[in-house]
Amino acid sequence: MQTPARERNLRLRHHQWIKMVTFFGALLAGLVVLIVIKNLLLSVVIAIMITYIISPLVSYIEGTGISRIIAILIVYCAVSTILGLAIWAVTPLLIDQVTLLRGRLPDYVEGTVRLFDSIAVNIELFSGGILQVNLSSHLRKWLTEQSSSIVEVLPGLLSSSASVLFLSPIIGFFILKDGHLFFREMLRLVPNNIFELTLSLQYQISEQIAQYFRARLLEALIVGIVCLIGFWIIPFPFAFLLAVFAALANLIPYVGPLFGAAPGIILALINHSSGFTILMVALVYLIAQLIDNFLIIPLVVARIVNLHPLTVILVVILGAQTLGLLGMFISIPLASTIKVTFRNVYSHLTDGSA
Amino acid sequence: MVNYLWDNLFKRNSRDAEIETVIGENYIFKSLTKVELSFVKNLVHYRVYKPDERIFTQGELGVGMYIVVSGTVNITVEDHHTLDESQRDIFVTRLTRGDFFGEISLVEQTGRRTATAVAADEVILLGFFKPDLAEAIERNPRIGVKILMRLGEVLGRRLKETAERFTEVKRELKELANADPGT
Repeated sequence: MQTPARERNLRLRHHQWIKMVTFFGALLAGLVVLIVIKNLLLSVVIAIMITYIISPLVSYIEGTGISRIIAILIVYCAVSTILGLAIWAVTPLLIDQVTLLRGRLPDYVEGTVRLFDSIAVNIELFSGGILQVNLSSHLRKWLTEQSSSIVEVLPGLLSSSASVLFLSPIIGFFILKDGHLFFREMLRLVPNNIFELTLSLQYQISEQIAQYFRARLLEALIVGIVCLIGFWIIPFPFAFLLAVFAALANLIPYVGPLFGAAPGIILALINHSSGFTILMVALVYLIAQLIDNFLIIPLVVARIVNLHPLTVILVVILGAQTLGLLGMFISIPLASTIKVTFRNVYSHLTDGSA
Repeated sequence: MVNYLWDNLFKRNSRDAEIETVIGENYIFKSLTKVELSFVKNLVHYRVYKPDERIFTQGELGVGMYIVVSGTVNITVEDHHTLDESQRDIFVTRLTRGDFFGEISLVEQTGRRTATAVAADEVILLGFFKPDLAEAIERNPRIGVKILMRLGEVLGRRLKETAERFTEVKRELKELANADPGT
């Protein structure tokens, strides 16, 4: 026969288990929905980024006494106006550069083949005729196929990302408006014995990811601006396109800057015989990276994500293998989230400082 | 089904009203206006505890304070000097409706709980934690300042009480030593 205290204890544990299973079940279900529905994960990631970027501004306006929904609307209107004006100002330039690029692609293909031919000749000369490389025919075929597919794929890519571009601001709006209520409702499901731990984790993770996204976007913006100014000064064709590409590629940790610099360097190699121009283009990328690595990363990013460089490289590779570009981008905040979770859970379980 | 929905709605409304009343009566939130109270109402966490359920344990990391809405909470501290397991928990106090505890955690960086809180019967608590305080400060600095001022007052008063108690114990020890110089 069980004592009343023991029976009460058992009932309590049973109650906690039900709550625990419900909470983690809800979390898992949410995750499955995110992964299964096409484009939803990407839309939510972009929506969270939008939220993190503009939430300090919304909170600032709300702090003056204006209701939250009005504050969100004010920020949304202001941001859309600025973005609209920017797109309106930039689109003709972008169209011009894309059209120009499309027209010059065959020349660039020929230039690349010539470049590789000269490399092959040099290898042959250097090895005294032992190594004979014949790249040109394969390369020409491959490059022609790829370059025409880029131009053809681009509109399709744009239209498929239209749903993401349309969904993200809407999801972002609701996260800003009701996000805290949603988290509060989720926390209701958390059993009492892990409630404080979960609340503390949610806060730390959310703060860390917010700061990380803001820092990465700041990095991308600065790299883009430095490249744009640099290419205008040299001057170098497709300055705007190359700067936008460098900025976007910079969002990917470690390999991003190399990706970002590749088109500019290749273009310089194909287009110009002068070594000076190639050097100048490389210098522009180098200055952008120096500013990023010696100013922004030590001052902003390093303080936020406390991960070892080797861990960063490994998680980026893992992210790339599982989710491609998106995986590469979200791998670091995800790894940092896992680290925060483990540290806190360990500290909670061992009641010692981790 | 309709009855269930209406019941739920009324239950929720009465719960909201109860939360607002309890917060309004609490010393830390007393200087807030009615509008400000309804803002704080959306920040606090409504938690229900079964009899004998632990709210927190001594030594755990603490993130905030609790206000008792209903039921009784027992506060105990562990005495590590005693070898007898059954004598280890020393009863400190019993808290009922309107009382609050754990407020030091709101301002500590990685503060650990200095006592254990256990529900004596079915207990309803309102939790107000560091992330909630941070949200209040960020979204409505006026409310944040009012809460922080009151919190400062409470912590100052607690410090004063502890200092007085410490002096008292020291005097008692001195008297004991004077009364029995042989030991």
